[in-house]
Amino acid sequence: MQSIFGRAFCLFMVPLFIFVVSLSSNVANAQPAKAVSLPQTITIVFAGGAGGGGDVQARLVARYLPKYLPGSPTIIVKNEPGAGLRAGVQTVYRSKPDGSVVGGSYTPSTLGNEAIYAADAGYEFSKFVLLTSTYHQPYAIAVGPQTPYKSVADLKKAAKPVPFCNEGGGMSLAYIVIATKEMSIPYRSIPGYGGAPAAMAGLLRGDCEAVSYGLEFTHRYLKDGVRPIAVHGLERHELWPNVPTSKEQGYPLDLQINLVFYLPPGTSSETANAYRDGLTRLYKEKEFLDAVRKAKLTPTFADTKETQRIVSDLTKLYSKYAVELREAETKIK
Amino acid sequence: MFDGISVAISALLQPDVLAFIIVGSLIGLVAGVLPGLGNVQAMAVALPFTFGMDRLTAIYFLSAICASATYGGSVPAILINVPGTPASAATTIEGYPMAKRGEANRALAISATASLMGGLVGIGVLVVSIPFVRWLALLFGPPETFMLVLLGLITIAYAIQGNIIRGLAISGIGILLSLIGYASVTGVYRFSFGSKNYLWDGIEQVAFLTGVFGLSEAIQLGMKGRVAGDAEEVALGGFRGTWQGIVDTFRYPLTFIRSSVVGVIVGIAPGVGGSVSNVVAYAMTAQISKDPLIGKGSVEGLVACESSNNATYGGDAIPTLAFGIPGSLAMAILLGGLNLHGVPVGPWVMREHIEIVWVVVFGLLAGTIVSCVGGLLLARWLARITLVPTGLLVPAIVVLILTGAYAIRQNFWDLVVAILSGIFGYFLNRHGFSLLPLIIGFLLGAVAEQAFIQSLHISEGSLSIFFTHPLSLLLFLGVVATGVYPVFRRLVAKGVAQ
Amino acid sequence: MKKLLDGRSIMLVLLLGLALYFVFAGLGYGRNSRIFPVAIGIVTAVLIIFDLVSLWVPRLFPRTEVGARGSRRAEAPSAEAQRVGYSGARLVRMVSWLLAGALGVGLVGFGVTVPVFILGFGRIEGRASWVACLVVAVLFFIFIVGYFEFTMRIRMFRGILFGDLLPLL
Repeated sequence: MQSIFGRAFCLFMVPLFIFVVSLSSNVANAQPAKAVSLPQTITIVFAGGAGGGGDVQARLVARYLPKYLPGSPTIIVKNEPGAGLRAGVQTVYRSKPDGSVVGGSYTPSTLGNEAIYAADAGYEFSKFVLLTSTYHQPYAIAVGPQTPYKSVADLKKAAKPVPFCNEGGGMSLAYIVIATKEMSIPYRSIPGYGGAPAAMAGLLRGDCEAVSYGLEFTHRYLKDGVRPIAVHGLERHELWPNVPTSKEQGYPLDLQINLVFYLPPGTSSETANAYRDGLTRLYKEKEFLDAVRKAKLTPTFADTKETQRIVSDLTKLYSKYAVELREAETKIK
Repeated sequence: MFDGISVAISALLQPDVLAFIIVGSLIGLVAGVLPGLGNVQAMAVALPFTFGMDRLTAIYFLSAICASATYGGSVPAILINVPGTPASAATTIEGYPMAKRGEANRALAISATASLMGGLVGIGVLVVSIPFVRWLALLFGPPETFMLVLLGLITIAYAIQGNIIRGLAISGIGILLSLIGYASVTGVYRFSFGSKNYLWDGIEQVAFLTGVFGLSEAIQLGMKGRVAGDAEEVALGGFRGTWQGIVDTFRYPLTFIRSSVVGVIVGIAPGVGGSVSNVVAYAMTAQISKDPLIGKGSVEGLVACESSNNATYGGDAIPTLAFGIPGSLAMAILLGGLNLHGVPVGPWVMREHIEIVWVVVFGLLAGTIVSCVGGLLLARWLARITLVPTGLLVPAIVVLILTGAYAIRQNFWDLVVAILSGIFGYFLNRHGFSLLPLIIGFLLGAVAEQAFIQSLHISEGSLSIFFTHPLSLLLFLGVVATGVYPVFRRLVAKGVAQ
Repeated sequence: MKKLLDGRSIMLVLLLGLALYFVFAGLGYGRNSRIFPVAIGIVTAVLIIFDLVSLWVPRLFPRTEVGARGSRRAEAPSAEAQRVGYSGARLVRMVSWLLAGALGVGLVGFGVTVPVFILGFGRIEGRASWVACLVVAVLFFIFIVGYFEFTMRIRMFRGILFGDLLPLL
């Protein structure tokens, strides 16, 4: 009998040790609750992979936001990039509206997927309770080092459709479809890249000739020979003062990337306001803003009203190009 | 470059950094031991705790966790036939029979030593490749990845003992099962069996893997009847077994080098990691080795498995640090950690933060050393798990697998999938089907399809892309050679006999 | 007739059915979505048919049972499976325990099911002593709550009787 005890102890001493350690850490982390009650642990479900700009913003928010929320809850970030960036949004859509889950996703991707997949997207974005948005920056078109293109005019004159590396859904495809349609650039899609860095590697390897991603992200690859062709903004960007906008080249496109935070449908206005208030105060905190800049990101902020406007504008844009988006999706299938 | 090394080393010598490396290695080791949890989960949980640390300490901490879980995963693979992480799937084939014949200590020692040596090779390659890292990271495009996967599938089907046709067929079934759910290239939700939500991201890998390997074994053990304490008589080997295991590892230098190289190459390729290198390296060894114990507890087979999966994360780190393309899920979390501490990922890391590259190198190295040395010291006690009576071991295995299957994404149906996979695995095993081709097909199927369709998109539908890219062509020749080799060997054997 | 109904043949027929499902279901998707599964499905189905025929009529394909490394060894169930032997009743008992475990977790969650499962299986199937079973059951309960809930911050399923919802299928 004694030997069985010994073996059983042997089998379980490690988890037991961890349990004791975890108990002590939990006691140390305990915080008194305040007025509006939020769960002790909150999960930001980020519909995207780890390591991208949006993921970093979400993680920085998770790190600095707790002190601005009632009860100073612990916030963890969960990456759910599956199903073409739809999985994370669906998770939030189906979550309990008790404030324990916050959604974070790129607005153009989330709305783009809804435009492309309609009911199959698995959510209705209009039903989410919007909070605020950040990480606003224009999209851009860039070409590989070995390509002959120097301007939008060159791309238009391409003898064969210009191949664009992309993920196969979301905004990277949607913005390619919209921009090439507006600019009459013949294009074909090379889908299936597991994120923007993989698509950039594809561009450098010669899998494709062009990509379309956010300006700050694209900027990182200029030293590798990636060449920007156009910025889809209304004005030139300070990072690329010599790169003309699409508007200057005759096509007034304003395609932005941004990261929106939202709560599951049915969340109470008290809970939503607690988050809105917390986020608004957070984006005024110097330490947080410095941390964002340290990660080489620009700490932009739009309140609920402005975010709502961005969402409405995007919804209109996508409905205008619904046919082309569905066509692109059918081609990939 | 040398400035970076001195910054990284001076940080490493700080007592608090060393303490965090040891704690991180232990966390990774424990997570690896538990089925369903691995370095990804441990790193994800640990990430928020790095907020208060300075940048270099945090990266040391995360790297140590990353490196230590792989060895941890081999412990239950050897002792109870349940791979703690997918990267130890093939380890069960040689490790568990060794444990069953009373050589648990020896097997654990081989695992720890080969893991350490394999890890060192992987990290060594990473260090040597730093000047060429950009070129290496761009080496594997879609056609090369497809051919690499094809080589892995063919190798395993030919290497398993028994019927080649059946091996290929069962790997085909594995591939087909991996295609269930959302197709990442085309965005189509396929083969859903009527499920509208659950199968969206396919069959959960860990639930399937632990079910097929672990639960099928638990059923097998339970089928023995009301036996209690039958393992009491089995000897563990004591310190002598541990020493023997350390010596054994060095008896197969070629196997070790070959498997480590396979591990590194597989690591560099995107989307394929330790789970694949472990199986491919094992399959190659099984095909080449003359050891009659292959498949029944061969030391050489175990050396191949353990050196390859640990060499993989050195390869994984190459595209991760060069381009910000995570070579594995664990590397994706590491990237998140880098970003969180103000190190923007992508080509900037190599150019502007070379000290970070060295911190990752030394962190992986330290994690490997701590976990493997710790594993060697603990082997004698860990091996005692095999002495737990079957009557208690079976429910313990079942509970570990079911909780692990659930924990990975907290979905109740994953638990049901683990059970169904266990029953499926039991029947396959019972009727003479090898489980390994099924698993390798399942792990590689979706990667193969993605690479194949992407290649066709790039070449506008022409299959010539697989033969015009030099590395792809080289891998294709490898596929052909692997297919022809057994026939050639048989003909030679026949000629000699005549 | 015996060969037609033996376990391996039945497994092969089931696997053939699975492969054919992928072929026929695959035909309903677009070109890029069907090309790979249909191709793999057809190849797999052909290999299974080949294996079935060689099993039923060994004289037709005598070489299919050749071992991978050149051996002429016919494949057999694993040594363990052979040693243990096969008992339908035992298998039903084992599977019933697993299904009961899943049902238990679904109804009352991990916290209750895990200790009860270990206690029940250990006593009834393993004939371990009450004390040993109790110790393991309690330690596993601590493990579930401690490691998963506290350390890993993973909320383990509480069961539908305690208010948790089963995820959508």
